[in-house]
Amino acid sequence: MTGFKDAVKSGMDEYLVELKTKLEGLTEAELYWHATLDSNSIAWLVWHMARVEDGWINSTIAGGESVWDSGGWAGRTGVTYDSGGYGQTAEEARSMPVVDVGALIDYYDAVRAAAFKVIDDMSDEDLSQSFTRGKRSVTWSWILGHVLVEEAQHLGQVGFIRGMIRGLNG
Amino acid sequence: MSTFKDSIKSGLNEYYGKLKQTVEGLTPEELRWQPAPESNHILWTVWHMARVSDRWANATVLGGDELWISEGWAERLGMPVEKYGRGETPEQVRDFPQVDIGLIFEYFDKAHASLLAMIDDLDEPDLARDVYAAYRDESLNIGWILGHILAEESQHLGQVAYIRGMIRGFDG
Repeated sequence: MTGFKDAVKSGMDEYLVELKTKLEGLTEAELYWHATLDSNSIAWLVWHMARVEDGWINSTIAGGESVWDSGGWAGRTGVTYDSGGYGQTAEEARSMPVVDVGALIDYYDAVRAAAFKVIDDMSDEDLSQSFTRGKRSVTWSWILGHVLVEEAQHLGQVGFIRGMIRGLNG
Repeated sequence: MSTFKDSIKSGLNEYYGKLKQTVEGLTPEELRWQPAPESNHILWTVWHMARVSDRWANATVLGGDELWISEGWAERLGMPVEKYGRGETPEQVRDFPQVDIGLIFEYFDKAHASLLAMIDDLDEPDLARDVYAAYRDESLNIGWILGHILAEESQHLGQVAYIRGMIRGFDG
């Protein structure tokens, strides 16, 4: 029985492939542009998207180290934030160091390879397992849907920012 | 028992609930604000998202009429039946009729419910089937379509949230 699991993976494939397309040809200035003081930049969004998928699937579900930690990606990317971005202030988001976005994508590819192994190994029974943080409890089933929704939102933001900078077909 | 099908459904309900929260309290001016001349505005985006759900569920997968047509929503909203959003020009976005977002959500509630009902009726073997999407002139796999709907609608939600953030700031 793989139909719905494959649908989840297909959605995940789609947002990562689309992300790479939307980054094509962008300059450093474009990647780090903040539309307003409170708006995130494309570079920050790419880093955050990868950290989010890594956290939810490779840490929360798989129960192990994130790929960020096990692969030494802070050093390899040059991004030294101590969180995945959630809860940062606008100032913190604006202070992301200028790094090679190719390294961020290499990190994301490594996250994805690990995440798909985790999902491939998941059975229907596993999906009822839950994760509790504070007062909040979610099932693994919910987490998979949530990852798709959260990541694709950020992809949409990347596309929107690119559109603001370069116009409709830029 | 939770299933991978439940992941798809919970994702759809998550994005839809978040969309309603994200537009809460926005004024008509804020709903039509375009950060750049070729940017979509929130009102157009929400309408387009509703069209997307309707078309995928009722026309493409189920092979019937969109609710837009069969329930007369095109007429109620004062728009042509073929209007969908994909491929529109900046002028068309800018000139989007001034409809009440509440009315768009009346349509969207129906479209969203029909999408969930369509998914409820699908079993694993159905996801291996292909259906023909006339407006794209393409044969598409139903399993792919489910992942795609989540990806596409969530992208638009993210855009709506981003525009709201530009207007109202971090916690606005």
